[in-house]
Amino acid sequence: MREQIKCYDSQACIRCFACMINCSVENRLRLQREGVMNVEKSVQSQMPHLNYLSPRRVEIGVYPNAKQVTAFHHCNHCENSPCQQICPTGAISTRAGGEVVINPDVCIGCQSCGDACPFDVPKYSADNGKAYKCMGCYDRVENGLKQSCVEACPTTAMFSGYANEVIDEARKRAALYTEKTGKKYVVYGADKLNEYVGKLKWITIVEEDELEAYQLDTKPTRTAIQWRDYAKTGGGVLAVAAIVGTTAHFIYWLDKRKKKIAAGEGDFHEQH
Amino acid sequence: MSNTKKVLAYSSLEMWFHKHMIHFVAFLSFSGLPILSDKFNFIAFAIGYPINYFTGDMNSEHILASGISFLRVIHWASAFALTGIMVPFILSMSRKILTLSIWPDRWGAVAIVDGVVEMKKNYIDLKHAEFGKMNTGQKASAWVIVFSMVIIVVSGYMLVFRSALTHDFISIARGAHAISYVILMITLMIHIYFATHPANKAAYTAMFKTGEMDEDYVKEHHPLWYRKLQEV
Amino acid sequence: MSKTSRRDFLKGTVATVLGGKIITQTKAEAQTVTAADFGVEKKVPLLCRMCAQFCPMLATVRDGKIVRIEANMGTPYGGICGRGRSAMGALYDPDRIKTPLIRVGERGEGKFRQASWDEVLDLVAGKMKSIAAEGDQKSVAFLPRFNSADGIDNNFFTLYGTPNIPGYGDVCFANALTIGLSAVVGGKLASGIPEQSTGAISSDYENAKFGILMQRNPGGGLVCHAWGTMFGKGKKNGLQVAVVDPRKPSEAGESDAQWVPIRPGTDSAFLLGLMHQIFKNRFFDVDYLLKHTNSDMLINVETGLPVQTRKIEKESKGKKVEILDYLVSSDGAFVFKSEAKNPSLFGKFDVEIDGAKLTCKTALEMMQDEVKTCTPEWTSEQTSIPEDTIVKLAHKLNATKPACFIDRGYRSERYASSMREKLLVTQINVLLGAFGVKGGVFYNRSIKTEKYLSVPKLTEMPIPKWYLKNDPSSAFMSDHYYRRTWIKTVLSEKPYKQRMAIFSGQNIVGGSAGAGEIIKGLKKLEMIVAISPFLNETIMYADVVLPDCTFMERDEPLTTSFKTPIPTLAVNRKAVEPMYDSKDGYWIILQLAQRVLAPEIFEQYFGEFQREGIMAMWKKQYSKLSGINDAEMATIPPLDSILNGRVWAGEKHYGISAKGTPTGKIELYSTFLAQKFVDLKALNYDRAAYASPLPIFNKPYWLEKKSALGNSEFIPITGFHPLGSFTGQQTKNNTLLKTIQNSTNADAVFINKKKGAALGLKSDDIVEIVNIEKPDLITKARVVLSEVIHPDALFSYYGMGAGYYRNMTNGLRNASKIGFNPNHISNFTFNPLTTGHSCQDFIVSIRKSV
Repeated sequence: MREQIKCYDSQACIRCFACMINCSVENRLRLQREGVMNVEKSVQSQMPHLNYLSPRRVEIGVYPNAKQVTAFHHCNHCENSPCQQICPTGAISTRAGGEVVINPDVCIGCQSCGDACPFDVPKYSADNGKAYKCMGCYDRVENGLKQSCVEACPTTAMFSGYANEVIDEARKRAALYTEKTGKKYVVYGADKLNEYVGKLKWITIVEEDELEAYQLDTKPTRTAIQWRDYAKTGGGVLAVAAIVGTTAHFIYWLDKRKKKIAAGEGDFHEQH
Repeated sequence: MSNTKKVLAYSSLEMWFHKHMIHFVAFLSFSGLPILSDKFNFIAFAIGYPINYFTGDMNSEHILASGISFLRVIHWASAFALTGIMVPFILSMSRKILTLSIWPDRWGAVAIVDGVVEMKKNYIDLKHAEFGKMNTGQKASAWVIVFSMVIIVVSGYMLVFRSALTHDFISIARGAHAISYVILMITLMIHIYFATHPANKAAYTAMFKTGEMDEDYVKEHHPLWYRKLQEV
Repeated sequence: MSKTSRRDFLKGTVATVLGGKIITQTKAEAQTVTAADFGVEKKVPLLCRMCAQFCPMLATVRDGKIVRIEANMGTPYGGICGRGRSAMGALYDPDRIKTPLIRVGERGEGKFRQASWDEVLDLVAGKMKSIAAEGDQKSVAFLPRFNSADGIDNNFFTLYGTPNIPGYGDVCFANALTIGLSAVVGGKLASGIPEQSTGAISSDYENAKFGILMQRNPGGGLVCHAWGTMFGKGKKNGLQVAVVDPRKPSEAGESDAQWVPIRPGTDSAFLLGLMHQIFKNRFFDVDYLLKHTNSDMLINVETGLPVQTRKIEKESKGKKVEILDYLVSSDGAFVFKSEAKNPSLFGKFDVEIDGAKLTCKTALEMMQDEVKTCTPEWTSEQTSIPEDTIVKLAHKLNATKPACFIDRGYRSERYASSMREKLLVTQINVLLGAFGVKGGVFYNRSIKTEKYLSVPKLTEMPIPKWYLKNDPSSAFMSDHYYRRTWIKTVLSEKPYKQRMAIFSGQNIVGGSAGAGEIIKGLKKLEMIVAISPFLNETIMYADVVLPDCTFMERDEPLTTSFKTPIPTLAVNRKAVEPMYDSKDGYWIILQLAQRVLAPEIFEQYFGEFQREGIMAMWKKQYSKLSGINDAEMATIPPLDSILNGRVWAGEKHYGISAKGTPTGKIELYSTFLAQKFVDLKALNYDRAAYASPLPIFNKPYWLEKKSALGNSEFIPITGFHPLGSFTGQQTKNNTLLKTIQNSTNADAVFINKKKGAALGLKSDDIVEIVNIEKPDLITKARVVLSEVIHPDALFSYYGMGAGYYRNMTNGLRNASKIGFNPNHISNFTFNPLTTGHSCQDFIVSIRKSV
């Protein structure tokens, strides 16, 4: 099972939201399959935590030189998945296809994943007491189907496949858009962003000037969590140093005391 | 020895608080470590195994999750209890805040160096040192412990009420909680070493058993404190 | 706290470690998934009715339930939008009408009691029979829109004896969009008016370099198959668009689309400004105009009619057709076009015809003269678009022609000037030589099936014929789309009384401008019947409600009416059994027919269908296919495979031609309009100018009333939410759509930020909205302040708000209880000549709700 990645082309996208609706539908299908709910109940309950994909709109500029940008909010399936790193129960794992997945049976709802995610992805459901996020439709992918969002897109703005093929296609499209519009288009996430997330397995073709509007952080991090990681490592080192240091002092002290007593200087640290 | 004059080192409230704090901090530490780092997962497994044995679910992932779930309950319970007992302690300390022995007697870099030199005399050279009730190291660690406990408690409560706060705030709380814990734990490791060190047996007895120290001992080993007591 | 039960993961793969630090990994267990979950499952072909475009879909059916919907990719333009994906949310909507209903409260209260099918069918049939006994069948109207007995229902009512089947189109495209095209290219005549449907042409999004979108949103608006998918392909090819719109719709493009904010209702002024530039800079395509159009036709400057014409015969597609030959000036002499070697496009001449001296100009000369005053300065003043924007857009069109287009637009009946806008759009595409060519706009092709049933024509005059004959202001109305004119008749009782109405999937109250007057009309009727699976505003006024089932629960005839450029043949099949006590629409109509018609009539026309079911219709339809060439015919699959989900699609053809104009040419100068203009002037109709073949400026009604809006005044404009469709429950109450609708403010009204702030408003305030001419009808809505909207405009997503007549939302658990529907409070006005509704052409005022 080779790693697959997904790509979102903001230029080919017509903002029809078919991807987002289909994702929600597919999740209800999963509940049906697992016997949690029947068909009717699953389409009559809103369950917003099952909308793994959502739009975030922002307006830029002032009338009449204004435009609206619909940022596509979704899990990036980071190479270094900070959510996976921080999850205390090991509920988050990366599958062979590259999908970073939360196992709801194991999840205890501590929301550490949400604390670590620099993209604000995992959604906590107070009703269920668990965190949810895009799981890359690995169940479909492992059975030879496309992800739900990819299957839904009527313009191939969402497409997926093996990483080198997808990145190739993405770069080709970006080059074409750059040529036709005169503005520079880049492929966000194909190259490593930083140590905190690594590369992304959901990349985006977007105008470079609009990375911020699309909420595509070029240096995505949760500083406090990074410092927490340093504290962990540092703490381990210091703990070892403390143990070594105190043991060394104790041995030294024993020896020094013995020597002093032998030298007839008395027991300075007399034991009563 | 039974005839020797005694000096009051710690009040019964201080001893009570200190003892209970140790218990709660131990619980908090054990329950928090598996959440902080997977190297301590064995703690969660140890708790989770018997729980899942009774529920019949021996899936190893689920054992870990059960353990951590249970530890979270212990963590919160201990946290509430600890902050509970802090209240009378803080009130009591506040009343005599000016006379607390954790304040430095002299300020400045020179004073610190002098204090460290005295500690070296005592613990390295095994010679007489001019200590007050507390030496420089004890005072420093006391302040570190106070500050890190404040941060850990505040950040802890932020995490308890996380739904009322933004993601950014909560991430900061996570970071602060972990960092202050590391500082606290390292400091405690050294503090416990010295507390249980044979050289400090008298202090140990005072803190945990009698609350008192022999006056002669105080005169010999805590001369600055002795002088203060005479002045009163 | 409810916990989901243990969910095991799929068997098969083991979780692996990737990247980063080494951490303890846990294995994921798997649940057995069978092939039946994916792919190898009952897949039923559907034609989506979440809006009205019939996009081909496939439903996955498991255990008698629809669990997933996909696009049917058996056509090059396959694709469905977010609405289609949520179809099962409409199917399993718990607020569907579950049983037949009979009204118990007052009309409008929405109080009903449950009834049996026999009871309601007897009630309806009884009324129809009693009216027939008086020989007054023409007082019964059947109003279909989302009707569910296609091929049978119209025929039943015709056999019954009523000529009145008012379609919905006068609140959409009839007749502005229609005539805006057909006046220039011709079309099949309906009561003397040439027709071109909404799907007659496509903009070549895929191959164009540049296009101007006006009143059209190819992304979020309707028609995913094919215009949405074509638009997506175009964007991938680097298509550039300029969106001339009072609001910038995200779906037409965000970063890449140029937004040209325009004062609402002044689109024709903008187009005139473009045309001015095209003439001034000689951007028109001379060869194209000479070869394909009547630009060189000599026009009498007094009358506006051609100076001389004669009938000649011409070969066209192996048939002989009669066309009008016309006088031109060629090499200094006046000759007929068919004999002219070198006709002039421009010129003013004195000519003598039948002894009379008259002055004439070429059509192109007349048009050029007419737009001389439409300078960028003038245009800018009318539209608020900066002068240099207009100039630059014209230059861009020229630089990219003929791979450029002005989109025909959609809906269209919005302002008094709508037909004029559409005419100008067509004229400009023709001037640029983009009409009929690759990259411009081109004709769609379609396949025809054999008609299943023909019934004898009635002699009784249908209502529109009376207006066409007697009312100059209705001279261009459609003779089959006229539901608001029908209301005019109900109110005035001219030409005759109306007593009963049967609505089949038609929401006249929610979907037509002037709901107040419409309700007044409805209240005059003796019986109102509504056939619909879903609640809508009209249902609240019905006396009898018959729940037909949704498209997912029924078989339908073979369908060929798509807006695809290529001929397409597909069918909608029954995926699941009708839910609750809803019934197949055919069953309902046949039950009525059996009760109402004489047994021998019923047997003659419906006997076969009753016995053999819809298969009889399919076979007949399939027996004779036409409209396609031999090569395509050879690729038609067997009927069986179409019934199993195969979609047949044919070829795309470009080609520059007219479709039945009198001259056989593309009439840049419409002879149809020229004649009508003369006729209307003769009748002293005060708005005869609306029929002029020349590019003239007509204001929208609101600009006639006020030259500038006050601080709290706006023009109410609408557009489709990508997850909203019409006024119906299927998207308003759909749980699957709710979350995303909420996160995109689907039920709010949007106004310009600066203007709103000056009124002391901020986003999420509740405002009260009134039509300044109907200040007592107050609608509450949540306001959002936006930078991407013209200060004169107040935008709301069509059909998403509860509106003023919001009773029906009491029965809809998900639908918003507030929100604006302009139709509810607008004026009961009619656009000149076309009689379409001026749904955006009035002024509203807002204030903060206290």
